Amino acid sequence: MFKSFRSSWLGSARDPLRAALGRLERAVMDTVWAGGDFAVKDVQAALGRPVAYTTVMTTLDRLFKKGLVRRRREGRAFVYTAALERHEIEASMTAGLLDGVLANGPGAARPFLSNLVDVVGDSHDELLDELERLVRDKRETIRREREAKRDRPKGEPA
Amino acid sequence: MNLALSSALLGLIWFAITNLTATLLACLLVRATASRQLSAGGLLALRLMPATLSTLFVATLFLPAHILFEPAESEESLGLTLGAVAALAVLLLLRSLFRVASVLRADFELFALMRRVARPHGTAFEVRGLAGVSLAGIVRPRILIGSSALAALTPAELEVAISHEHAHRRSLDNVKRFAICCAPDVLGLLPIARRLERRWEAETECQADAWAVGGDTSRAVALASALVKVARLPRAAAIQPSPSWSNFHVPALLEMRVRRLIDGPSHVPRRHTAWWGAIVLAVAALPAAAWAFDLPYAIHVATETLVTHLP
Repeated sequence: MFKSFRSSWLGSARDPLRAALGRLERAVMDTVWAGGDFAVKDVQAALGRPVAYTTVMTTLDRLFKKGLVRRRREGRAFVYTAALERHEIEASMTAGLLDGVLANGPGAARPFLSNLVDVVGDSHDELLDELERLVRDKRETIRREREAKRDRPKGEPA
Repeated sequence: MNLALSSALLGLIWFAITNLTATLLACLLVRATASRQLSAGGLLALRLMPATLSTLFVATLFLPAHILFEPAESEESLGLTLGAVAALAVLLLLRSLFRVASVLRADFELFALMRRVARPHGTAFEVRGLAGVSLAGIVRPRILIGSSALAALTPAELEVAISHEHAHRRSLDNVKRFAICCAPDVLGLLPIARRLERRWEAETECQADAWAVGGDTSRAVALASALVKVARLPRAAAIQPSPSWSNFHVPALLEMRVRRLIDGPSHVPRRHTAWWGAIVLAVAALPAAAWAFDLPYAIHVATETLVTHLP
């Protein structure tokens, strides 16, 4: 019992992902790392504990913005895959990159931070572009439906 | 120890004990309902349950019972354990008071600033330096529109965005935000409260979206478009919203809201006034029932036992 207690507490404390990701984010990443494509509802089902659909969707969106998962559209929904393997993320984190950069003075941290802001900004813009496209498509659908309704002779069923 | 001092100290102790118990109960309920779609009212009731129950318990049961059954002067003194519990209650109340003062001060400062820079725009106010659209204020909330949002939105988008804020005003959402922010409870110190608040916020925003759209597909698309446009506006604004404000753009909810609106306008949620009336009546009837069953004397005996036996 002590061993499992030690591994669950001390072991997780040494887990570099624990410092960077929340508990649900880690659980979602563990699911995605199992391999394959996952829709939000697949991740929700695989979590093994009750978590609201919107919570899983927000978590996946956050992981996407962090660059940890990729996504593509399938129909109306997004399908997610891991962008990086676990060991790749761990390696980059344990390298203590930020510590090293900051150790060289505040000026040295600027390029790193500006790059980070750019990456986050890019993924944000990507999402907004995607949502804007959805709005445009919907407007087009409504316009076509209205035109079809107007052109239809009176008395003809829809 | 005289009656006034013992009432205050023991009241604090019972406040902390009932607060901790209700927090535990709320945590269990949150976990049990994690996969269920709870209404905004249900989530709010869960979030405010510890503060409400503990205040109600102390005000309607403990204090009257203590004043009724405790002699004016007694030789009792509090041990270290009860002292620590009372200190916890003091910390909770101080934190709450500090938050009340901070939110009120922020609101007054913003309204003072607004009086200088705001221009009436229909039922709303145009404010230079504000990002997006917000419902500001607790007692007399006003709809504020940033100049950049006013320039970016079409008249149809602006109208539906203002309707969204009207829905928040009708639901007294800023008062609810204020209550959540300032509730004196242990639950507020736990991460589970943040999750509960995010769920409540998501439900509240979707409800306001549904009210604004009113089941009309074109209005739903206009609202989705307004959300995306406001999300594109620069965030570094001169005026930062206060925690009690309802903001049109909530970054974490953007995708979910836009997709919901695009998938089809949801039905306008029904107001559960009758349910709320029944809940308020039930909560008000609880102390009366407790007095009818002589529970206050049992609470007084329990208080005596705690004071006598705890170190």
